[in-house]
Amino acid sequence: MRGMKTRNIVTVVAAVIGGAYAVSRLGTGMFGIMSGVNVAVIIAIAGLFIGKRMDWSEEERMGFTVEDERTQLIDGRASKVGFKFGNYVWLALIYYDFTAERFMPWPKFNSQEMLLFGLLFNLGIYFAAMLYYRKQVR
Amino acid sequence: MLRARDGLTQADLAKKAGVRRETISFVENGEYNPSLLLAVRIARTFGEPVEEVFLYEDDELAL
Repeated sequence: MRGMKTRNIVTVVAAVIGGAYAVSRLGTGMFGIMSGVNVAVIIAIAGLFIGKRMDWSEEERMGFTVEDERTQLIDGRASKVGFKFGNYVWLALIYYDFTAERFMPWPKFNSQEMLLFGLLFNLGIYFAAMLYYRKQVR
Repeated sequence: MLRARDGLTQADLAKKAGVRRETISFVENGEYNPSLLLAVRIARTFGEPVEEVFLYEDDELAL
């Protein structure tokens, strides 16, 4: 528990330093600020994953199983939800772009924005489904 | 409770059954129905038949 707290503090500090460094390099304009936030979020997510991995290693050292039938069930259901909703969003994005390109005077996305939005949505819906099914899987 | 009878903690039972501790907690609280394999493993840990370990009311078994 104490190790977890220290780890979280280290992650937050690293995320803040990384974000501040990005802002210092790229300026305090919109692009710089957004890049700083991006870097901070990426470092925070990496910290979470590394922390989780460390917890699992500790559990395995103590002789516990880290992945069992229930976690596989949760992961499977969350993946299915992520895949289905993700597909809808990708299709919607592509149809929007197609329509904006050819028929309607709508603002256009560039490919980077579309990829970023689509992938973040996929990840977000997957993690939300994981949290939901952790309580709901029977 | 069988676990208390045998002086086992949830962690002990999880190790013996090869599952996560939280899975045992969910099974005990009736919030997760284990697979047949896990049910048999848990029952064997207690040296009891499965139907003595996992009790269901008639209305729970109704289709």
